[in-house]
Amino acid sequence: MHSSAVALARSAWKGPYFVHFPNLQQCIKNGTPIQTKARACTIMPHMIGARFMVHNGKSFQAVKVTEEMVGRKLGEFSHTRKRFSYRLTKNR
Amino acid sequence: MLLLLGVNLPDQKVVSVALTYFYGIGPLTARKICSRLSIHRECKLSELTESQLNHLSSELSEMTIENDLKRQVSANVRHLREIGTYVGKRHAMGMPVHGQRTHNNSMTAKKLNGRMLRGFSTAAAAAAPAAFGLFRAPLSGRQQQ
Repeated sequence: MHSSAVALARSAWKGPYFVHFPNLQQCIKNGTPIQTKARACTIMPHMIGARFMVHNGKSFQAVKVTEEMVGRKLGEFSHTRKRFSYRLTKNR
Repeated sequence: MLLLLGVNLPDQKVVSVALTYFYGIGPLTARKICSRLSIHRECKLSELTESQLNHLSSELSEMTIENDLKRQVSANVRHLREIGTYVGKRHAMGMPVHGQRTHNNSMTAKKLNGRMLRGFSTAAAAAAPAAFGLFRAPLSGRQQQ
């Protein structure tokens, strides 16, 4: 399912779009999170176990990459919208 | 009525139309099955011979249709929910998934989208009454396992 979704979105000869994080292996070892704004970056197998702080337009959300996430984008795990909740007044 | 793989099919209908009574078979797939079994386009279901029916049922039993397909779809949605994607979240909220407007309309999504997570699996069925409509439900169910 994942592979087909990726394959449909982009021509095969280009390969998946991903960003090169220079200190990725080091960060996986140390467990230090990588701050990034590259929401469109595809999660590749070598990123498993890494911790990311993915920007959602306002703040950086923690995303821990697991095996199942491979093939999806980083941005899918950092939600950009707040659930609506009704407030009587704005000044609270 | 003819009972085939647990689905009641109407006798008086054309075969390619009657096949669309299965979940997972549309007009195109039905026509493909008919041409593969060399059943005439206007042949009614009641006019099929015994051997043709046998071929038809063996053809159908090889496909993923009905409950198998429903389970597959709901498993896919549940997987998306469990790994925490945006799509899975939208499903759990019962909102449209592909970026449609929600100011008004989106009634189809509100009607259908939560279903995949609630129905069809024992784990989701157990979690559903506790947190009906809350999108945390599948996650909390998983932690207990």
